[in-house]
Parts: sequence; C-alpha cells; structure tokens
Amino acid sequence: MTADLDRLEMDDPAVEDSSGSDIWIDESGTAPSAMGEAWKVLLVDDEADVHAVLHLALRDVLVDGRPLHLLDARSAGEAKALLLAHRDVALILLDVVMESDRAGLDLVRHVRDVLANRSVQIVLITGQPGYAPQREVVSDYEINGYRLKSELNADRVYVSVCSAIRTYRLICEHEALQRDLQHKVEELDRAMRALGESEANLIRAQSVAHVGSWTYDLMTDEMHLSAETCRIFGVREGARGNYRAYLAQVVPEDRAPLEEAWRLAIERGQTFEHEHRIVVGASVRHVRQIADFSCGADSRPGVCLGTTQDITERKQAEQELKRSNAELERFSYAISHDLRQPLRMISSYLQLLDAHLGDKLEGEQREFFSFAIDGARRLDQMLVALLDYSRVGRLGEPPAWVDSRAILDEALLFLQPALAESGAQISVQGIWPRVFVRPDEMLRLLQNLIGNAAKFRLAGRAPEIGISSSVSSGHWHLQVTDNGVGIHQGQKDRLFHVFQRLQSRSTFEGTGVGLALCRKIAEHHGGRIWAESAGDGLGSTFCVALPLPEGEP
Amino acid sequence: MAIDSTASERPALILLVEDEAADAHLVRLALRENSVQADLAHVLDGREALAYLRREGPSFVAAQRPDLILLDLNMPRMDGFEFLAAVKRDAGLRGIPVVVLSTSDAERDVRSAYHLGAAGYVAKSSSVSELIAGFGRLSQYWLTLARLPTHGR
Repeated sequence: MTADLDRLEMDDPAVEDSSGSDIWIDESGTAPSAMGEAWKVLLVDDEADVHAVLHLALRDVLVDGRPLHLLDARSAGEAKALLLAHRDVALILLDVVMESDRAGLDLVRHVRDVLANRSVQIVLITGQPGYAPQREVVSDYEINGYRLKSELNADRVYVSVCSAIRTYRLICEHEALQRDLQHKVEELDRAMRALGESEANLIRAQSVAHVGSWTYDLMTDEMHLSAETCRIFGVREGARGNYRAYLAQVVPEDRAPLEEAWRLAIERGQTFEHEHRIVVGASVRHVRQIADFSCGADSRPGVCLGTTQDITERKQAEQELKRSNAELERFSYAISHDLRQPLRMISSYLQLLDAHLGDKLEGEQREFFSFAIDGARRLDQMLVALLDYSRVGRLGEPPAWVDSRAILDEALLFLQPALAESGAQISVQGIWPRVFVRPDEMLRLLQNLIGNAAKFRLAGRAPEIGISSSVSSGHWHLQVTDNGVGIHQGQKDRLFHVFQRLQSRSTFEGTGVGLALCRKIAEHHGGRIWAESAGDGLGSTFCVALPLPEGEP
Repeated sequence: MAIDSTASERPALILLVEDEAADAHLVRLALRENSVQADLAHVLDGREALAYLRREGPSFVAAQRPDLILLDLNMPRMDGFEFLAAVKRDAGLRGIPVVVLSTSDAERDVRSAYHLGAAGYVAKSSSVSELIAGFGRLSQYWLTLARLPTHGR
C-alpha cells in the first residue's frame, strides 16, 4: 500500500502544474469562485492515508475549467449521509472493503436503487480484488470504472477523474435536455388541449353569433367551411366548396356586384367585404362576407380566411322598420290632408252659414251652431296635435350638443305672455348641463311642462313654478314643480296617454296630447317621465330623466 | 296698386285647378268678397289644366291664356306638384304665376312648391274669414302684377 502511495506522490502532475493553473487563473482575471461551480467528488475509504493521497493527487485539478470539491467519507454509512446532503456529487471514488466486505458494493446499490441516482459516476478503487472481481462487479453493478489501488498513480487518478466527470457532465446535459424536452412536450400538450377547447368554443360562439368561418385557396379553388358556415348555407357539415359552387348559390342579381367586389379585393390585396343574398332551399338569406388574403411568396394573394355572418334577421328588421316608417309617414300625411280637408269644409261652410243667417237665428239655434263650429274647430286641433305626436323622433332636428339652460330660456320666452297673464312666479335652480338632445323636441317638452304648471292652477292662487336641473349617475334630471290643481291618486297612469284629460274641458282648454307628447319625447331620448303629487289641490311635480352620454366630442 | 285697365282690352282670367267643388266655391266667394275683377276658368285636375293651357282637345280649342293659376295640391290623375313642374318646364307657360292653395301646412310641401317655382303658397285656414281675406289679397296682388304692361303678352 505504502509503495503505491509513494508513487502517487512522485508522479502527481497536479502538484507540479499548480503554478501553471494559478497563471491561468490570473490570465483570465477571474476569481476561483466565479469559475463555475466546483465538481463534487466523494472519496469513500476507511483508510486515512488514501484520502490524503487522493487529496494530494487531485489538488488544483481543473476539469473543463472547474475546480474539484473533495468530500471525505470514512465509511459507507458516512458516504450515505454526505450523499443526502450533496445531491450533486459528480463522482464517487469508492473502496469496496470497509465496515463490511461488501460495504462499497452495497453503497453502489443504495445510490442506484434507493437514491435512484443514475448520473453520479462511480469508480471502484479496491486494494483487495478478490472481494470484488472486476468482471463480476462491472456486469452486476452499475459502476463506471474499476481501479486497483496497486496500479494507481497520479496520472491514472487524473485521467479517471477527468473522464468520469466529463461523462457526468454529458449525462447532466443530456438529462437537462431531456427535462427541457419533456417540459416542451407538456407545454405542447397543454397548448393542444387549449386549442381544442378554444376550437370548441369557437364553434359554439359561431353558432350563437350566426357567424361562420371559411378558408379559400385561390390556387386550388378549394373552399373549406366551418360547421356554422355549412349551417348558414344549408349544406352538410364538412362539405367543401369552390368559387363556382358558391356563386351558384348567390341570388342571380347579386352575382355581378359580388364578383366585382371579389375581383377588386384580390387585385388590390385588400380586405373583401360584401353583403349579398343566397338561396337556401326555398328561402333567401342575407349574408355579410369579410375575408382577408394572405400572400404567397410572389406576393400574390394565396389563401384567404373569411367569415360569413347571417344578417337575415337584421335585414328583415331594417326592411320592416323602413316599411313601418313609410306607413307612418303616409298615415300622418293622410291626417294632415285627407282628414282635415273635409273637416275644413264642414267648418268653413258652418261659418258661412252662421254669417249669412246671423240675425235670423234665435237663442237655441244659435247655440246649436256654435256647438257645431266649436266641435269642428276642436277636431281640427286634435288632428294637428296627433300629427305633432306622430312626428316625434322622425322629423325635425337631429340630436346635438346644446346648452340646456339656453333651451329653458327659449321656452320661457315663448311662454312669456301666458306666464304674465297667470301672474306666475318662476324660480330656476340647479346645474344646467350641456345635453345631447333634439333641440326642437326638448324645447316642446319644457314648454309643455311649464305651460301646464301655469295653466292647471287653482282659482285665486297665483302659480308658483319651480324648475330645477341636476346631473347624477349619468342622467340629466329635470323637475317642474307647481302649486296647482295636483293629481288625483290613481290617475297618474292615465296622465300620459293620448287624448286623456284629467280636468274638464270647460275649466281647462287643450287637446289632451301635451303630456303624451312629453312622454314620447322623453322615451325617444332613451329616458322617462313621471309625475308626483300628494293629491287633488296639492300641486304636482313632473320629473324627467334623460341619459347623458359621456364626453362631448 | 290698381289694375291698369288699358293694359289689356279683355278682362283678367284666372285658371282654378281644384277637384273639390266646395273648395272651388270658397275661391269664387273669396274673389267676389275681395272684388277681384276677373273671369274664372275651372278645371278638375293637373292633366285637364295642362290640356287647357295647351289648347288640347275639343273643349279647350278656344281656351284663353290665364293671367294667374290657382292650384290645389291634392288632386287625382296629376297632382299639383306634377302640374307645377310641367308648367315650369314649358317655356311658353312658365311666365304665368302659379299660387298654390293647400290644406297642408307641412314645411315639406311649402318648400317643394316654392322650389318648383310657385309664386305664392296659401295654407287654407279653418277660419273662413281669414281664408277669404288672405287668399283674396294674394290673388289681387299677383293678378295686378300679371296685368302690368311689361307682363302683358
């Protein structure tokens, strides 16, 4: 044993090269700690001398630029404890005969089977080859080298350690690659699952929104349709199409404009967007097609990805709205011309008769005449009011940003004669914001509410009218309060209906359209109107709330 | 302004285009009440009025050119707007002033009538005295203008 160790000492190249490695460190200008982590080498031997010799042989050795960190265990038991504390041991130089004849071999099993450490390199160094014959242990145990203490020298130790550590390094890198690969495979798996889910969601979303998608290859003239697109076109799911087949399904008079739009989009490489009708069985559907082209290598459009939206319901609603608007227009025109014309005849000739007969009429006859004339006059006023009512939201000025206080002032100016005549006291309060309304309609609403407050007054009491404005939670709130006749409980619902009057005509003139008009105006602005009153003779408050859009442009 | 009686030997002529007999009667009454000195030719719709002005058909061979046209808007066969447009397109007729008489006070109708070249627009009031006064004065004005020497043809 001693002789071996002597030889080790003499041939130790690491000792002689120590100055060289110092120079190398200086040249690099890097501190040893920054050279990279040390390779951990576990020396397991029950003989202190062997440790000393190995320390000497491995002093200042660098493997791939990294130093060694030697751990010493004097028994297999100590080695187990160190292996637990240091999971990253690269190499074990292992004696076989220690606390037992096979302590070293048992440690190998422990490392490979219990710790499941397949990467650490194990080199057996034995002084008694009889206890662990080389062929037997190399084949039965997972070890990476076998050295007899008798044949060891510094060079051999160096070579063994270097090659073992390089192997360890390769194994580690290999494991890292494998882990990385594993990680990527898992990521890919997750991504595939997510894709599967989002595809399922897409299919659901397409069927809910009546939007389908498709791809079209301009080179092969092949069209692939999503399930929803198939549903919209009434073809079986998974069906494929082509340009000609698509065109055949389009309503003939829509084909030319569609082809023109398609040609232009391809020519200019722009987004294709077109609405047209298609024939599905016995019915016609309206679709909106939007498609983007992706360009091939020659920068000519190659494949295009498109969406198909079924807009049949919207188109039908639009047509229905157009139709009912036109009908309403004809209806109002009929009121203003066709109904008023004969009425005007009745009224005109009654007046002429009245003028002609004049003095010849007596008491009751004169009264009959004035009833008839008055009735005709009132009917005409009602027709005019009804015409006004039907015009709300259809004709007149478009909505605009205006100063609400300016509208109020205009209303007050207009009402000035009536207000003066009634002796009304007006008080205006609150914050008057800029509002987004149809100015002419808002003016009428204010005129009606304030006019009513002055009109429906109690006999012998001058009207006191409070007009206030505020802004809260995105709404413009308007209140007109009076000390007038009030509203009988249970009549509030009738208040806003056309031609409903809560007061006798003999006391208060009017057509019974004013508040209905106010409600229609409020509702056309997306708001509402309501009345509050403690009861008959106790005054009323009319409240209007209109949404206030955010931010004037 | 008074009518220059020497401007023309014949009396002034008004062409009334009106399908409602009751309305036609009111027009006659208004002219009479306002002492408008004019003869009245009465046709029932736009097509008949054009035939009159162009002397087409046996009944209008000897029709006289009117100095003023009073036109209702709401008529069968050819309504007032179509008639007005046709008159203003016709170089031989466009010099005759046309005053529109209508039940409608809709801004759209008033604007269309003036746009087509109407000389005036009277919304028929439901007060007969207002109608007679207003309409009579307007007719008198246009008739006077039409009969001034520069307009005489």
